[in-house]
Amino acid sequence: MSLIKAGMRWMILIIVVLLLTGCWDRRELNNQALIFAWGMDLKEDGSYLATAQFPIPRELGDSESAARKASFTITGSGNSVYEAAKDLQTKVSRAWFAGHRRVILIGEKLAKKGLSNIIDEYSRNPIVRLRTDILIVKGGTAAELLSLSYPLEQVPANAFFRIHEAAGTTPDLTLLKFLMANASEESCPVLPVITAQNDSNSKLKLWGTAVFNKDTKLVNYLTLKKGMIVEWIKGELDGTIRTVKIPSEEGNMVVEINHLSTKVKTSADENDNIRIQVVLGAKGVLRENNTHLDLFQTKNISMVQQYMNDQTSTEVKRVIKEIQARGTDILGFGLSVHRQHPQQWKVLKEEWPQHFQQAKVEVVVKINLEESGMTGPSIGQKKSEIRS
Amino acid sequence: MAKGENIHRNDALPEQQLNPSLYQNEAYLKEIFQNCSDVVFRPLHIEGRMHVLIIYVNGLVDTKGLEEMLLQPILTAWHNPELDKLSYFKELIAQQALAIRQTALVNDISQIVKGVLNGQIALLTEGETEALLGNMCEYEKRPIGEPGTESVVRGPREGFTESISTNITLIRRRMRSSKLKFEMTTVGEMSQTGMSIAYIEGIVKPGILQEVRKRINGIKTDAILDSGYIEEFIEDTPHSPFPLVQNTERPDVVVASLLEGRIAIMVDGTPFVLIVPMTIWSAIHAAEDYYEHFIYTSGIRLLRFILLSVSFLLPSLYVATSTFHPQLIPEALLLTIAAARENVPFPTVVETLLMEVIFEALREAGIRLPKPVGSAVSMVGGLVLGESAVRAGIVSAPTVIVVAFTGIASFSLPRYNLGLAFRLLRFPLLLLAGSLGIYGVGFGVIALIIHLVNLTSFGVPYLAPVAPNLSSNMKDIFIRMPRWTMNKRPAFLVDENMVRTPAGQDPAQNKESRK
Amino acid sequence: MQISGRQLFWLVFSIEIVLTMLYAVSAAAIEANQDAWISMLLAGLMGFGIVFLIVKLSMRYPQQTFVQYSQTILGKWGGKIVILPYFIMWVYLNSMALRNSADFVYLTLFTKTPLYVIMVTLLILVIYVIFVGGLAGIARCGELMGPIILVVILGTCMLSINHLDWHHLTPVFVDSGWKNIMQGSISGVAFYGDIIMFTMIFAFMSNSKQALSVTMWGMALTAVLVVAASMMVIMTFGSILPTRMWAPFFGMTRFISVLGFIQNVDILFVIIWLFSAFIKLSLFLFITVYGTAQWLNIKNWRILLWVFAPITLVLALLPQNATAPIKEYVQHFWIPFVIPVNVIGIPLLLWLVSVIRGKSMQRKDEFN
Repeated sequence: MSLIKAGMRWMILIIVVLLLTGCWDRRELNNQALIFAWGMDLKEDGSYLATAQFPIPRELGDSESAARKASFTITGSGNSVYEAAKDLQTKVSRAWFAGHRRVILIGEKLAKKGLSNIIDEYSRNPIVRLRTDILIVKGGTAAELLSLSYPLEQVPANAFFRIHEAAGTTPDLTLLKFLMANASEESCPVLPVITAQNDSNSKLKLWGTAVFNKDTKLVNYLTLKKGMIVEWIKGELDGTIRTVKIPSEEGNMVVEINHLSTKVKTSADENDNIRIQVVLGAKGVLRENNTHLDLFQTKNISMVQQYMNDQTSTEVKRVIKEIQARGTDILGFGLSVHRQHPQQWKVLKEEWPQHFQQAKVEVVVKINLEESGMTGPSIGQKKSEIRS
Repeated sequence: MAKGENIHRNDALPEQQLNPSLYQNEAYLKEIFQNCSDVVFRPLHIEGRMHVLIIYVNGLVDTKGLEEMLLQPILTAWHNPELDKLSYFKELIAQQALAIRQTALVNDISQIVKGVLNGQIALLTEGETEALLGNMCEYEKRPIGEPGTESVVRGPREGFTESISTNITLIRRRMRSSKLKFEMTTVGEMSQTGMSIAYIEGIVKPGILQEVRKRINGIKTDAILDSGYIEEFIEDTPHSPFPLVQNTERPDVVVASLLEGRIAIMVDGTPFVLIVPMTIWSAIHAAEDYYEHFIYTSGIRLLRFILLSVSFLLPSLYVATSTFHPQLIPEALLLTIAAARENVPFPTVVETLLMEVIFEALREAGIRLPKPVGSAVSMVGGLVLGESAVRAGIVSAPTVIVVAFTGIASFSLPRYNLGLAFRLLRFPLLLLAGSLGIYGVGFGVIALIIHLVNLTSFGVPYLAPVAPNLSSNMKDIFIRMPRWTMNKRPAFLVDENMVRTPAGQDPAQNKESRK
Repeated sequence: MQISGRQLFWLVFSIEIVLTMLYAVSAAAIEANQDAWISMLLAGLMGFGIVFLIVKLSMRYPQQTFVQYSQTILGKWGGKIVILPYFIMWVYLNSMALRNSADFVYLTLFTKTPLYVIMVTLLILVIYVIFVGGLAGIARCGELMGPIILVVILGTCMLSINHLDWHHLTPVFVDSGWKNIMQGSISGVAFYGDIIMFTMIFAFMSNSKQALSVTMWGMALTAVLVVAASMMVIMTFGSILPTRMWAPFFGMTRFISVLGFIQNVDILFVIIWLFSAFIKLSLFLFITVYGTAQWLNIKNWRILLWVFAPITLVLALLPQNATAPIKEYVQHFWIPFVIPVNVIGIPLLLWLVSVIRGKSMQRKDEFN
C-alpha cells in the first residue's frame, strides 16, 4: 500500500506542476482579434491579397457609440493563403482568430484564375469552420466590399451571410457543396455571387450564381432567376415565383410556387448518345392577377396553368441550353446518369463534358395551380371588364 | 492510536463497595463530587441521626416529582421502623412514586456515580451495602419545531430535537412495529453520550448492521458533542470530500430510510440523525419528492441534476470556452462577452476565481453573522461589490452572471453537505480549465467519476443503483415513478422482504374495472 | 474483482464504437466509395465471427483468463510461449491507443500545448482508476460513461438528419464490386479486432453464461451504429470527400446547427472521445499489467503498472506525426500481423487443441 500511496503523491505532484506551468493555449478574448469575414483577391503581380474584417468589441458593448463604425478591415499579401494571413498579422495588434469566420469573399479576378490553390486552407485547419458561406464578388474585389459599412447589422460581415440566407438557401453549406461538386467526377461547382451597388442604403446585392469548371475556374455568371432554375433542377429550391403572361390579355399573373419536385430521367444508347428528360413539378398559389380573367372559372385556371407550364418549360430549356453550351455540368445530369446507368457511366465519365454538351434534353413542367387566393376576379377591375 | 494508551476519564473509578456506614459513604462520594456544584446531597435526619441520603444532579432530575413522590412519603412515615431498609423504599416507589421509571440496586460506588451523572437519583441508607438507583431523568428540552435545514412546502413539519428520547418517540410514532429496534449504547469516555442504532429487523442486511455495530463500538474518544463526531469515525473513505453518511433532522426521512433497509444512528444532544449506508442519490432527493405528485417531482429532479452540473461545471466551462475555445460560443454571445471583457485587467481564470472567492466569502459571512447584520452584508456584497466592480471594469458582467448563477444552482441541492463537496471541487476544476481548457474539464470530470464509482458507504457502492447498474431500481433516481409502480425495496440494500407495495394497484386499472 | 454482464456490454460498446466510427469509415471509403457502409456491415459480421470464436474458446475455461487457459491447453511452456505475440500486441496497442487519443485531442482542441501533457494526464487517470478500482472500477466507469457515449452519438446522428441526401448512396455495389468492398471491410475488422483483449476479461464475469450474448449485443450495437454512421457520412459528404477527410464523422458533427444556436456540438464528441479513450486505455493497460503478472507469476500485479505506464508513454511519444499511428500502424502491423496471428490464428489453434484434447479426455473418462 505504501507504494501506492507514494505513487499517488507523485501523480498529484505532476498534476500540480502541470497546472502551474500550463496555459499553453490560453488566449484571452481581449487579446484576440476575431475574424468574422475574410476576403481573397488576386493582385497585379500574381500574389494574393487577404482582407480580414474584425469587429471592434469596445464599440459593440457601449450602446451610446452605436453610430460609430464597429468593425475595421486589414489586408495582407503573400503567395499563399496562410502566408497572406501571416502578413496580415503584422498589421494587427492582437492575434487573429478565425474560428468564427462565416463568410469568405473571393474577388472576380482570383475566381477566374482558379480557386484550387486557396480552397485547401479552408478545410484543413480544425479551428476553422467548414460551415462557411463563400461568395464571389462580381466586378470588384473582396477588399472593397469588406470595407463597406452596413448599418443594419452589428458587424457588416453578417450582412453577406444574412442576405444570402434571406434568399432562401442554406448559406452554411455553400463551401461544403462547392467542395463536394469539385471533388466529384460528375459535376461542376457553383458559388453565389454578390456585387456592390450604389443606389440605396444597402450597398450589397445578391446577384446570382457563378459557374466554375472542373479546374475551379470561373466560367460565367448566371442571374438570380437562372440560378434558381438550376437549383430547381438540382432539387435544392424550396420555392419561387413565376410571372405568367396571358397572350390574350394585357397584364400578367404572378404565381408563387412551392413543394417543388424534380425528376431527371436519363437514357444512353450504345453510341453513347444521352437523352435526358427533366420533369419539374410544383404547387402554385396565385398571388397577383392584373388581367380581366375571372378565376372562379375552372377553365380560366387551367388556361393560366397551361400558359405557366409552357412558359416555364421554354425558360428552363433556354437555361439548360446556355449551360450546356459551356460544357459545365452544374445541373447534376452526370450524377443522374451515374446513378441510373452505373455500368455505362464507367465509359461515359471519361468524356463527360462532351457528352453533356451533346445530350438531348427534354423538359416537362407540371405546375398545379391549386389556389387562386381570396378573390376570383381582380377586385380592381370594373365589372364590365371582367371576362369569364 | 497506539494500543494500550488510555484516555483520561474521571469516572473510571476503582470498584469500591459501599460501606455500611452512611457517613463514610457520604464522605467518599462528596470527595468524588468535589466542586460539582450541581450535585445535590440531600440527607434525611431522623432523630439527629442520618438515615437516608439522596443524591442527584440538579436540573437532570424531575425535582418536583422527587419532592412529591419520594420525600413527602418518607417524611410522613418517619416513625416507621423499616425506614432503614432499602426494600421498603423499593416498595414505596413501586406503589406511589410512579414518576420513577426504573429502579436498580447497586453496591458499587462507581455505578452510583455513573447513575447520578446520567440523571438518576441515588438513595443510600444507613447500615446497608446496597443503594437504590431510580430513574427520574427530566431536563429542559427544546420543543419540537420545524427542521431548519430541510424545510418543505408539503409534508410533516416535525423535526428532531436534542433529546434522544424525544427523537425515538418521533420515530416510533411513525412506525408502530415491533420489528423496529433501537439498540442503545453510550459513546465517549467522558461525555457518556447516549446513542441508539435504529433499524427494522427483517429488512436490514445483517452484514451491514454488524458492520455498523462494530464501527460504533470501536470509537474511542473523550466526548461526542454532535453526530458529526460519529460520522468521521465510521466513514469508509475519510479522505473523500463527499458525504458518505447522510444526516437528517426529519423523522419521516429516517423512517423512509429504515424502510429501505438503511440504519439510523441517533446521538443524544443533537437533532441530526445519521443514516447509513448513503448513496449519492439520497443527497439529491428531498423529502418532499415523495409527498408531491410524481410528475412534478420528476421534473424537479431533472432540474436538480441540471443545476448540480451547473454548480459544478459552469465556471470552468466559461473559462475554458472563452479563453481556449472561443469557436464554441455562438458569434452574438461571443461578441457580447468580448465587449464586456475589453477593459478587464485580469485573465478570465483569475477573474472567475476572484469572484468565486468573494461569493463564498459573502455566503460564509451571511451564515455566521447575526441576522440583521447578515442582510447588510448581502447588500454590500451584492450591490456595492457586484455592481460597482462591473462599472469600474475590474470584473466583467458575464463573469458576475456566471458566478451568481453557479451560486444559486449550488443552493438548489436538498442536502447541504453534498453542495459543500461540489463547492469545494469547483476550484480545482477551475484551475484545470484555466490550464488545459475543455480537456482539463474533461480530465476533472473523469477523475471525479473514478472517485465516485470507487466510493462505498458501508460496503454499498456510492453510485448504486446507477453504477453498478440495477435497472429495476432506477424508478427512483433521475425521476420518480408513481408509488404503485415502486413495488420493491432497493436491491442493493435489501435481500429479503423485498416487496413494499404489491403490484397491480394502478388506479387507472381500478377505474376500468369499475366500469 | 467481478463484473456483471451489463458492465461487460458497456465496456465492449464504449471501447469499440468511437474509434471505429471516426477512422474506419474513411479507410473503407477509399476502397469501396459509396458502398463503404456495406464494407462496415461485412466488418461487423466478421466481428461477430471473432467474438463467437473467442467467447466459445474462453467459455471452455470460464474461470481462467487467456494466459491461464493457454497453459492449460498447451502445457506450461507451450502456453507461455503462445502469450509472447499477445504481450507484444498489448504493449503496442496501449501505446498506440494513447497516441491516438492524445492526437485527436490535440488536433481538435490545441495548437501549442505539448502532446506529452495530454498523454501524461490521460495516463494519470488510467493509473488512478486501475489502482483504486481495478477491473471493477473500470467496469463501473464504463457503465456510467457508456450510456453517455450512446446518447451523444444518437443525438449527433439525429441532429445531422436534415443534411442527409440518400442519393449519395447510389449506385449501390456497381461502382465498387465485391473485391473492393471486402478490401474496405478489412480496416473495419482491424478496429473490431481489439475485441481479442476481452479474452482476458471473461474470467472475471460473475455470471459467465452471459458472456456470449452480452458480447454479441455489444458488438451488434457497435456494428449497427457504425454502419449507420458510415451511411450518414456518405449521405452528408458524398463518396469522395470522406476519403480525404481525417475523421469524417467528426466533420459531420461540425455541421450540426439547430436554431442557429446549438452549434459546434463537436465538443461533445471530443468529450465522449475522451471517455472512450479513457476506458479503452485503462482496460487495456489493466489487461497488460494483469496478464503479464499472470504470465510471469508475479503476485502483486499492481507493481507492474509502474513498469508499463512509462513504457506506454515512451512508445506513444515515438511516432513522428499523427498519421503514422492511425494509418501505418493499422496497415503494417495490425492487418498483416495481429489479425491473422493473434486474433484468428492462435485462438483457433487453441480451440482446436482444446476440443481434441477434451474429446480424448472424455474417452479416457469413459475407459475408466
